[in-house]
Amino acid sequence: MNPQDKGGGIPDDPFKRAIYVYDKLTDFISHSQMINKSFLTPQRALTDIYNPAGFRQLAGDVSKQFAVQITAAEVKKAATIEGLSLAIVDKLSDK
Amino acid sequence: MRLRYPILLLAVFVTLVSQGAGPKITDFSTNGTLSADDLKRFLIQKRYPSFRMSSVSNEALTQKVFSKPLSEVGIDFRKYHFDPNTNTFSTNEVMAKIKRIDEQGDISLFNIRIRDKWQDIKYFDPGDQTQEEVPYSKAKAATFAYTHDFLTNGNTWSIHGAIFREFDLTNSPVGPITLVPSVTLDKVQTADVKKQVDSLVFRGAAVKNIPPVNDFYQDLRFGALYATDVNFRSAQVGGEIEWEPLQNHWGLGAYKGFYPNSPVLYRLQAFLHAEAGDILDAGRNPNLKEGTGFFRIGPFIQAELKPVFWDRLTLSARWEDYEAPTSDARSTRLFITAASVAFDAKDHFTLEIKYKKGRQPLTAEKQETFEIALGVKL
Repeated sequence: MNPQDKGGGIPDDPFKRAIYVYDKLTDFISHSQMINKSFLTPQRALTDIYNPAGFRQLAGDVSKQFAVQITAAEVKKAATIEGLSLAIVDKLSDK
Repeated sequence: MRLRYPILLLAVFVTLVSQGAGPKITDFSTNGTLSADDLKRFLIQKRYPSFRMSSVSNEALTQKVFSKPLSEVGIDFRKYHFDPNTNTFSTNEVMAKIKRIDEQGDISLFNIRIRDKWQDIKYFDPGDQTQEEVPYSKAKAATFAYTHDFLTNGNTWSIHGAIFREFDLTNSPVGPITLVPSVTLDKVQTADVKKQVDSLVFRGAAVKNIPPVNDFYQDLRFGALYATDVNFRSAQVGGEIEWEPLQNHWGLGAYKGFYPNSPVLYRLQAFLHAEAGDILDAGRNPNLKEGTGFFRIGPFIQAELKPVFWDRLTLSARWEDYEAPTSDARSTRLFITAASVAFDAKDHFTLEIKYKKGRQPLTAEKQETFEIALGVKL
């Protein structure tokens, strides 16, 4: 995901927006430094995190990429790519 | 009259089942097919049972009140692998996909964990929402092995594992902290008394993650312990403290490939352990000196390997070296190497082959065992 994509080009339709965020998040996690895409699928990457350090790292990375404020606790609560996508969609809707 | 209660129970059962059955897809389909909007309505109904989505028109679906449900349904399309660009779905296909994803559940017993050691806290155990993915878990299984020797009519059995439950406290005076009460049992029962291991340890511990240093995150574990045996003959009281660095990029705490597209993953765990206390009663354990204190300090190092092409197999090697600087207590060095194969995708049940050599922590009982055991991990 390019930095210029942040906040731009996001569909207004809630159904399409959620899919957009899900796909972007999946793509982002696949390419993130934290999750080495060579060995984990995005879904597995999120479920494999077991420590607070991992949550904080991912929360920071995702917040930057989507230009929203996601905390480590929210990432932990989200637990899955689906859950984290919804948390981001909610944040984007509030903006 | 005798039939009154069975009928009543049956009625309650049928009511409960029907409550949990979810919406009927036939209320949303026509001739066995659903349009994209039908599917959206059905999925909203599934999430919000109190709604009456079958009577909501396609136009009404665009109203703001459905904004949040539609966002969730967008995610559901991904979760259940529905193509958002398709306009017609068969009911059979929809139900098959939903069943496949939804029915894959975790086994949980009041959030009580049964694992190899109490430090095997996974901060969450979400499992995985899709059948294609198998979640890895840091935790290892508690193991049980039993052998009956018909020649001597003797029994040999062993149990190694910990039962614990974590409680997250977010508003403690020291900030967020996790409390972990646990009971750890290591028991090897054989006819030869010298080969027996009998350790029962009760702990009241806490886990606190402390500020990171550069890219290294840190966990601090500390707490009190009461160590005894299953007959409560021996008694040791004391405390423990452990410091564990975590660095996901290095595989220190999370699986990592050796190189891009590596067919084998590795995961490391390392922490520094210190324990101190008093031996109140040696019981029948000749390795304990009654009325003395104990202090041990040293590293715990573990490496695990997992092939990508068969991720139910895990190979591991562990070295615990808790040195006692004083002569009152024995050092406890323990080497464990193991191979485990999971029976299920969630690693709840495993077949383990384990070799242990060294001394049991705290009780310092000498052991060298080779076990083929059943592993259970919740």
